[in-house]
Amino acid sequence: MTMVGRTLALLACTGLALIGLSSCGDDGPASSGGPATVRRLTQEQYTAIIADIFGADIKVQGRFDPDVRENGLLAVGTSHVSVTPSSLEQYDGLARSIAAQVVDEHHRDQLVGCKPASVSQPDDNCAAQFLGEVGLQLYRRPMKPEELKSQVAVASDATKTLGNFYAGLETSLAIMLESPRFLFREEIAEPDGAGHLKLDGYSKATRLSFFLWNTSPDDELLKAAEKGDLDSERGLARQVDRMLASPRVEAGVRAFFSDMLGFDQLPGLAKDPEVYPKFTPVVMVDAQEQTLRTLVDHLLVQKGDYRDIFTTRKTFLTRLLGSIYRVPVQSPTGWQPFEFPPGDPHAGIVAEVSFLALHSHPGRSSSTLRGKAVREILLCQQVPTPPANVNFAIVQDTKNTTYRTARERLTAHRTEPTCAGCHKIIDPIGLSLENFDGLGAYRTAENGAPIDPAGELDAAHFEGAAGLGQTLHDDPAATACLVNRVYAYGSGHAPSKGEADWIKYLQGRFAAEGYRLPDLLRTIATSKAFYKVSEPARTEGPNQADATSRASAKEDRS
Amino acid sequence: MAPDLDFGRVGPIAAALAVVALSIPAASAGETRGFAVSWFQPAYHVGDDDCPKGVSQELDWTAIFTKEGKTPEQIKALFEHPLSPEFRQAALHRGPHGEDVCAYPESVPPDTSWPTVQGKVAYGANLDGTADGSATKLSCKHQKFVGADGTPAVDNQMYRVMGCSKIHRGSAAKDGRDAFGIEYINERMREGMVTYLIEITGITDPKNSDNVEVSFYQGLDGLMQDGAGGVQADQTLRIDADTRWQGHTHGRIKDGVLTTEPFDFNVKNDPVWMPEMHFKRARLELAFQPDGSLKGHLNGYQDWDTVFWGLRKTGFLLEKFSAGNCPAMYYAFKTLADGDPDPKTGECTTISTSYAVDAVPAFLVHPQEEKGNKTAAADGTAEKTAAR
Repeated sequence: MTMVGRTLALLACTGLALIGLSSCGDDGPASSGGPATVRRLTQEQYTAIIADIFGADIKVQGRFDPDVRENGLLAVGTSHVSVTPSSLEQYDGLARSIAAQVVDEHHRDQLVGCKPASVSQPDDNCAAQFLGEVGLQLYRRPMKPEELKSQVAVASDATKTLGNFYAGLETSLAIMLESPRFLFREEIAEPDGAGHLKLDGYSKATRLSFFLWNTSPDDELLKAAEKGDLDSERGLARQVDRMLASPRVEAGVRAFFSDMLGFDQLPGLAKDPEVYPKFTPVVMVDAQEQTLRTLVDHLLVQKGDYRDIFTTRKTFLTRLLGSIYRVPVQSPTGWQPFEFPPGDPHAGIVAEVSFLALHSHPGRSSSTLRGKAVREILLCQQVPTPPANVNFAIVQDTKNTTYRTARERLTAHRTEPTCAGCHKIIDPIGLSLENFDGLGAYRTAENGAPIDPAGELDAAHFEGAAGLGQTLHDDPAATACLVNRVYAYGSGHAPSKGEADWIKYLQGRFAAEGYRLPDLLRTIATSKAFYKVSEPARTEGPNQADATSRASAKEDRS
Repeated sequence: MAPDLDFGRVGPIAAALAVVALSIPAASAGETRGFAVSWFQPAYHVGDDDCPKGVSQELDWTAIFTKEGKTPEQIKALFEHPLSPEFRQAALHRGPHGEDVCAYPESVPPDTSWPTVQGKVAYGANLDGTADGSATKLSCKHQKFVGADGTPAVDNQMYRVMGCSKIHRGSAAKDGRDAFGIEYINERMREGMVTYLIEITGITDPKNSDNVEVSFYQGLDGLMQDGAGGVQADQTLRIDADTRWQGHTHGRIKDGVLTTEPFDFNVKNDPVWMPEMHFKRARLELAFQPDGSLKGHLNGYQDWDTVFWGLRKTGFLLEKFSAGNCPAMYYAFKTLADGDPDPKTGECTTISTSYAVDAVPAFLVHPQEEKGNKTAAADGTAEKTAAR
C-alpha cells in the first residue's frame, strides 16, 4: 500500500472512531471475530492438496458430494456440511486409490523417503518418519504422539497380515486420507492474552493458506506456525507478502471469483440446441476461463481498480468464444488477448457469456434472472423467492405474436400484484442486457421487433450493458459487496453484527487504496480481526463446532 | 477488433447496424465476407423413375469365381473368409491374364451393366450452351436433363453415371443427402478432414452488387462443429497459402443471389475416396439466406479420370462393400463424359456435374496476416498474461 493510501486509510478509520465506533489503530476498529470453523474440503482443494503433497501424477479419480451455497458462497456452506454414507464410500475409494499409487513401485522411492530394513517385515522407524511427515501436511498440524503411534501400529499390523511393508503403509495412509482431520479444516482457538480467543498458529496458517492459495499450508508456512511467527505482526506480514508475491495467489483469486460468481453451476448448464446451436459444454468451459482470465489479469497482474471489471473492454478469447461473440480470433489454439473497440456493447463481465448464459433459461434469455444475479451476486442484496403459484405462461411464450420482446412479455407478467414488487427491482436491470440472447450472443431484434435496452438500477437510468457496467462501477454497494464476500470467503462465515464496524473500516480502506484487490487481501490477511474467534454460541446448531474447538483448545492447554 | 487486422468478415459494429433479421444483414461499402463450407457434395436429385433397373448391387462373386474355373469347394472355402487376401485376389484379378480390373479396367471387354440414371430431372446448369446436348468444341454429344427448378437443358452427366450407385442413392425426403457415400464424406469434412472457404469481396450491397470478386480456398484449420451437429458459424479459419488449391473469379449479386464467371480450380478432398477434385469452367450460384449463410450449387466440369481413380483405387472396398463394379463404372464414365474432348481421340475427358454448397459465415485469416501474428493488445503485458 502506498503512503498516500495508508494515510487515507488511517483517516477513514479515524472517521469511524469519531462517530462513536470503537477505537482503531492501524488494524481498524475492534471486531468480535467469528467462529472457529470446521470446513469440509472442496473437490478443488482436495485435488490441489494431493498434488501439492504427492505430485501431479497421482490421480484423483472419484465423485465428490456437491457443496452447499450459503450467504452467496460455497465457502460459507462448507462450514455446514458433513459426510454422508455414500460420500464416505467415495472418500474411501479415493483414499485407497491415492495410497496405492503413493507406495507403488513407480513412486515409493521418491515419496516414501526411507526404505524398510526388510520389505516383508514392519519397520516402525521408517513408517513413523513417513507418516509423521505426511501427517503434518495432511492434517495441517503436527500429529499428536498418540495419533502417530496409532497409525504406525496400523501400518505394522497390516504389514504382518499382508506380508509387505508397503502394503501396510498403504493401509495406514488410506486411513489418514479418509480421516476427518484431513477432510475437514478444523480450526482450533486459544486465548489471545487479552481475554479473548484467537486461532492457534496452525489454524492461522490453514486459514491464511486457503484464503490466498486455496490449498493447505506449504512447508514454510507450517514452519512459521511452529515457530510462533504468525503471532507477531512482522512474522505474519512476511508470510502474507510472500504468498501474495507467489504465482500461487492466482489459484486463490480464481477460486474466490469462481465461488462468488457461481461458476459451479456452469458444468451442468444446458441449452436448447435448436435455439442455440452454438452451445456446447466446451463453450461454458471457455466462458468460465475467459472471465477468470479477465479478472486475474485486471486485478492481479495489472493491479487495476476493481470497479473497472464492470466496464473493461479487454478480455481473452479462444476461437470458440470468438464464434459466440462474432469476432475474429487469429490464434488457432489457446487464448488470445482481445479488446473490443470503443462503443462496443461488450463491456465488463456482465456482458460476458459466463454471466449472460448462466443467468438465462435453456431456450431464452431472462431479464429477471440477470437482474436477480446483479442484485444478489454483485451487490449482495437479497431478492425474495417467488410465490409458489406464479403463472409463467406469458413470459415463457417466446413466439407470442402480441408480446414479441422479453420487455413486452415481462410487462404483461408484472400486472400480477404478487409479482410486481420483486420484478420492479430486478427486471429493469436485466432488461438492459436483452441485446444478448440466452447464450450471450449479441442481437438487435427479437421476433422481428427491435430491442429496447433501457435499464434502471434504483435511481440510475442507463442504456445497454455498457450503461449497466458504468452504473455498477459507480455504485458503492458493488465494492462494499466485494469486501463482504472476500472476508466471508476467507473466514468461512457471513460477517456478524460484532464485525460490522470492522467491515465498514475495510470497505473504507478498500476505497481509499484505489479498490485494489491485492491490497484488500493483504489488509484482511494481516489483521488481528481475521483470526479472532468470537465466543462460542451456547445453543445447538451449526456453530456446535465452536464449542468443540473451545473444548479442544482447553484440552491442548492442559 | 484490432484495427490493423484485415479479416474477411463484417465486424460486430456493422452487424449492429443491420436491418431486422428477416432480410439479408446490411453491410458497409466494399465489404468482404467470408464463409466456411458446411456442405459440399454432388447434388443428386432423387426421382421415382431414375433407376428402373434398381440401384447397383454387389457383384455375384459365386458366378465370377465359377467363371474363373473354381470348384464349388474352393468357392465355399473363399466365402468362409471373405476378407482374406485369397478372396481379394480372386475377386479383383479377373482380367484375362490375372489383371486387377480396378487398376486395369480396360483389360476386360467393355462392361455395359452399370445402372445409369434414366430419369429426366437433375440439379445443375446448362454448361455447354446447347439446347439438345449436341457436340461442340468443348463438349461431346450427350443427353440433357431438366433442372429441378425447371431450368431447361441441364448438364449433369456425373449424376447420370453415379445416381443409381447404391452408396450414392439417398432419399427424396432428404434431397439425396442421406446417401451413405455422400453423407459419410461430408461428415468427415465437418470433423476436420478438409476445410473449404469462400470469400466474396467488393460487396457494395448484399442484395445487388455488380462487380464482386470470389475466391474458393482450402483451409488450414479443421472445422468446429456446433452443438446441433452442424458447422459453427462465425468461427475464425486460416486460408491455405498453397495456390494450387484455390480458385478466383468474378461475379455479381442480383436479388440476393451470387453468380460467378466460370473458373478452374483444384481442391484436396477425402484421401480414401477422392483425394483431389479438379474443376473446370465451374460456376457458383449461391443465395444469401436471412441468417447470413449461403446456399446453392457449384456447376461445372470435373476431370472424370480423377473422380474414377478416387473410387477404383479403393479396389476391393469399392466392389465388395460399396456395390461398385470397376470395369462397368469405367465404361459408364468413359462413354457418358461430356466435356473437353481429347484432341487425338475425341473422347471427352471431363464430366458435367453439380455440387450442393452450403456455407456459414466465418472470419478468414489470410496467410500474410498470420505471419505478422498481430494481436489486439498494443503492449506486451496482455500477451505475457495470455502466455501464462
